[in-house]
This record gives sequence, C-alpha cells and structure tokens, in this order.
Amino acid sequence: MIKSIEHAQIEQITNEIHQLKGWAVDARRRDDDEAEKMYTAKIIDREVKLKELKDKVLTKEVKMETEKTDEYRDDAGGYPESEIEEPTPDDGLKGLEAIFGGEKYSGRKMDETDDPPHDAYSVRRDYRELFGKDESLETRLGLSDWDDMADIMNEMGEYIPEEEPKPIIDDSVIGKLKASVNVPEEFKFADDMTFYTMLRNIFRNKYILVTGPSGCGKSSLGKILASITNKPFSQFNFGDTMNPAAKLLGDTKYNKDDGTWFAPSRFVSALQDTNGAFIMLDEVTRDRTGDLGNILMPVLDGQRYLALDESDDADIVKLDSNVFFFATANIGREYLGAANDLDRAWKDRFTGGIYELDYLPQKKEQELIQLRVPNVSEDDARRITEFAQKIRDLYKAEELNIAISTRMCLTTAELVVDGMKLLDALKHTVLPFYPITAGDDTERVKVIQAIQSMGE
Amino acid sequence: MARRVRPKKHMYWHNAAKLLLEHGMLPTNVAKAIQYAFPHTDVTGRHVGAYKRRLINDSMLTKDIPKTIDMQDAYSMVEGIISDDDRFVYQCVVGSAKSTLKCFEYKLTQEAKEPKEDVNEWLENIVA
Repeated sequence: MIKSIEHAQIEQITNEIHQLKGWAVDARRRDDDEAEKMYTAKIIDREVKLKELKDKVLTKEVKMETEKTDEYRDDAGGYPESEIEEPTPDDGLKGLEAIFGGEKYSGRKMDETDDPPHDAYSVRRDYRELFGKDESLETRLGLSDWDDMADIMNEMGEYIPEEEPKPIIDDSVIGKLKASVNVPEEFKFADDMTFYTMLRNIFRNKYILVTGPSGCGKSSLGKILASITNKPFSQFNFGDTMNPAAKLLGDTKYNKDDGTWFAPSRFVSALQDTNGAFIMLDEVTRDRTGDLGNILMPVLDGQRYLALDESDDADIVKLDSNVFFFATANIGREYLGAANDLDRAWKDRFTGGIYELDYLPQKKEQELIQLRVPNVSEDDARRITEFAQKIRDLYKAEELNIAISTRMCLTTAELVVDGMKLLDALKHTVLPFYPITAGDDTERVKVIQAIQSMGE
Repeated sequence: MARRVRPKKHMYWHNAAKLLLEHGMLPTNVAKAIQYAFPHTDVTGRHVGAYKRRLINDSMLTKDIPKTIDMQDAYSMVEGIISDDDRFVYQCVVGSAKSTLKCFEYKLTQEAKEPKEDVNEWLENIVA
C-alpha cells in the first residue's frame, strides 16, 4: 500500500512527539524547568497538528470510500439490481441448520420480519439492557440456563412453527375421472388425457366430431365411449339413405285397417330417450345432398329441437337434456362422394372439439389385433401391422392412393386364424382395393411386391 | 422455498363418505351406505377407513366424533348429497371396469369356446 503525504507527516510528527516527550522527561530529571516548558509547548503544538492531520486523513478516506461506491451507480444515480439472488428466510434457516445441526431449527419457519433466533448471549445482553446488570443473578445462572430461556423465547413467538400445507384436492370433473376411471385397454387411439377430456365432454354435453381415414377406429371409439358411460347407443349412418328426411324424421305408413299414419323414426325416439342417448352420426361427409346436415342444424345447436314437418303448427321434438352426439367423418382425397372438408357451421356445432385420428402406431395396432383376434399369433400380428405401416408410408409418399386400414388388418388376422396363409390372406384382403391396370409400375404391382417382400 | 403440494385424489364417493364420517359413522357403515347409493362400487370399509385417516391427517376431520345419525338417516343423506358429476364418474368407473366392453362382446364368446368348436358345430349342421 502506498502511503499518502498525510500518512508520512503523521508518522513524522508522532516520532517528533515521542522524541520531545523523551527530552521533556530528561529536562525534568535535570530540574530544568525552562527546557521542560519549551518541550511541553512543542509537544502540545505537534499534538494539535497531529489531530488536524488525522481528521484530514479520515475525511479523505470517507470521501474516497464514497467515490468508490459511486462507481457502481448507474446513470440515474441509483444502484443497478444485483444479479445475485437475495437469500430467502428459508435459505437463512438452512444455513443455521448447516452450522448448528438440523434438529434445533427443523420444523420452524423464519418469519421474514423477525430477528435471528435468540441464543444464551443475546438473551443475557437483552436482560442487561432492560433491567441493568445484576451480578448476583448472573453468577447464579449458568450459560445453559440462558440457553433454555432463549429456547423458550424462540418458541414464544420469535419463531412460528411451520404450518402444514393445506391439502389441494382436485375435485374437478376431469380430476375425479382421472382419480376413479381406468383407461380401458381397448382405448389405444390417443393419450389418457384425450380419453378423460372426451368423457368430460360427454358429461357436459359438448358434442364430439372425430375425423380420420377409413378403418382407423372412429366408430369403435364411439362405441367404447358409449359403453363406458352406459348410455343407450344409437348409430345413424349418413351414407346409407335414399331419403334423408324419412331417416331422421319418420315416414308415413298405411294399412287397410288403420289407414295412413305417421311413424316417427328411430332417430326421433333416440332424441327423446330419457336416459340420455349416445347418438353416433357416422360418416357425416357421405351425405352428398346436404339434407341431413341441414335438418340436424337446429338439433345440434342451442335450439335443441327437431321439427317433423315444415308447417307452422309442425310437431316439435324436444331433445332430452342428456342426449349426446358423436359424429365421424372421412376427410380425404380417396373417399368417393365424401367432401374434402366439412361446412364451417357444422364444425361449430361440435363444441367438445374435433379430434383428428390417424392410424395407430405399429405396436399399438399389433396389441389391438391380438386383443380383438385372440387366437392370432404374436408373430402374425406383428407381420400384418408392419406390412400395413409399409403401405401407409407409400401412401404418405403419394405413391399409392389408398392406405391399409386397421379394419383390413383385423380381417387378415381373422383369415389367418381360420387357416389361410398369411400372404394369401393379405392378397385376398388388400388387393381388391387397388385397381387392375396395365403396366409394370401400377399401384397393384407395388402392393404385390410389398407382400412378396415379406417372405414366407 | 415453497414446498410443492400435490393435489390429492378426489373420487366419486368421497363427498358422501366425508359427510357421514362427520356425523360419527363407522367406516364399515359408511361403506354400506355408499354401496347402497352405488350398487356396483367396489368401495369397502377399508377404503373408507383409509380416507378417514387421510382426512384426520389433513385436519379436515376430528377424531372420535360422537355418532349422531343411524343407518336409515345415512341412506337418505347419501342419496341427497350425490352430485351429477359423481354419478357420471361412477357410471364411467363401472363401464371401464368391465373386462370386455359391450362393443367387443364377441371376444367373450371366443374366449369361452375352443376355436374349433364353432366350426365343428357348423359343419355338423351342414352334413346333417
């Protein structure tokens, strides 16, 4: 450390004072009063100077210290926020536990505004401040007694016992479903949360629309959900009607005894089922006329009614409050007669959400086949599903126009169980979907090559 | 550092069980009342006992509450407290617990019979 001028002067003057004091003592021994007075005056003079210098140095040091801290100030004159995180009261507690062992401080929580814990010394100091020094008491009490007092004081309020965290109970609908309902093994279409959300939608009457390629399990999913919720199940296919109005509303009947009368449709009965029917509207995109969709609009939206004819005084069928709709749709290029997309207004009716299903992953598809065709061997199930995956990859690469569905895999597995060879069963099930056309690079040839590449 | 508290399970029978436990009923009797309201439930006195311990540990129930209702009261109280969502969740529990769902009933048939039995029976009919 380099000494400042003031420090050097202080050192010099201190030495001079020391020297003068020595001379003054000598003068006293010689009884030389005059010399003693002179040295004493000089000492006093030097001491005054020394005090001035010391004050000067102190002021300078304080100033320097202030300037040093000013370096850290930002442009606005304040101190920038430190990147080091402030220790929390719990961190302090951990420190205490580390130093003094965990037992004394465990189970206690430091209140942020509280002082540090009492110990024997601090209690004795506080006692002295409050009541003055009491020698007799302090002699009588040992350090351990003061320590006990500290413990008592700590327990009395300086420290509060840690409150047990209040239990969080998830009593929401999805929470209850998750806690109580197991995902059935047949449900392999999506993750568990999708399963619980679908159940929640059924409970809240938020209708569901499921889209995906043919044979991927859309209808099976609907049947599973209906079965789990134990609702009366009714299925209406939009592709199998020549008379949409008769399918949904009903038709006139005649016999010679009763004459002509109106017979309401199965759909009308399902709407009025007091147990809250689970109505599956299957393949809604196959209705090319659009009539079915139009008739169903007021049924699916907030109006929740079905008018049986178009007259002013038409009979109105009110829906039971627990009726639930589950619709499926094929959307894609390979579906003859199917629209490429659904009407926006139609989609809006399905407030429970539109779920896009795809074919199952190979492993899950294999499990499903083994589950639904229990006598198929594991190896056959694996080979069938691997072949399906290969064809689906070609479909995705747009080399084929049709993919292999899970339904086709199941049909193949059933044929194998009944005694057909695997490759023959595949040819039997799959090839009719690929047209016979001339050429060496047709879709059919590609599929045959894929089958043959499987070996025996 | 705040301790992370995991949400605790809340099942469809918990509301009813808590109400009856608050009236000092024994877990066995609470289970009977729950079985009355949910006939296909697999909840037993042991389940209710475990739930009771949890409530006591969480300070949501005090120990040794004197009994203030009888079984008849318990049956009617349970009927009254079951909410729509509890009833729905119960239906789903029963539905999902079926070994095979309705839509796969053929699997049961297949499991019950030997694979060849159907074929033999069918062939015999043709020959006859």
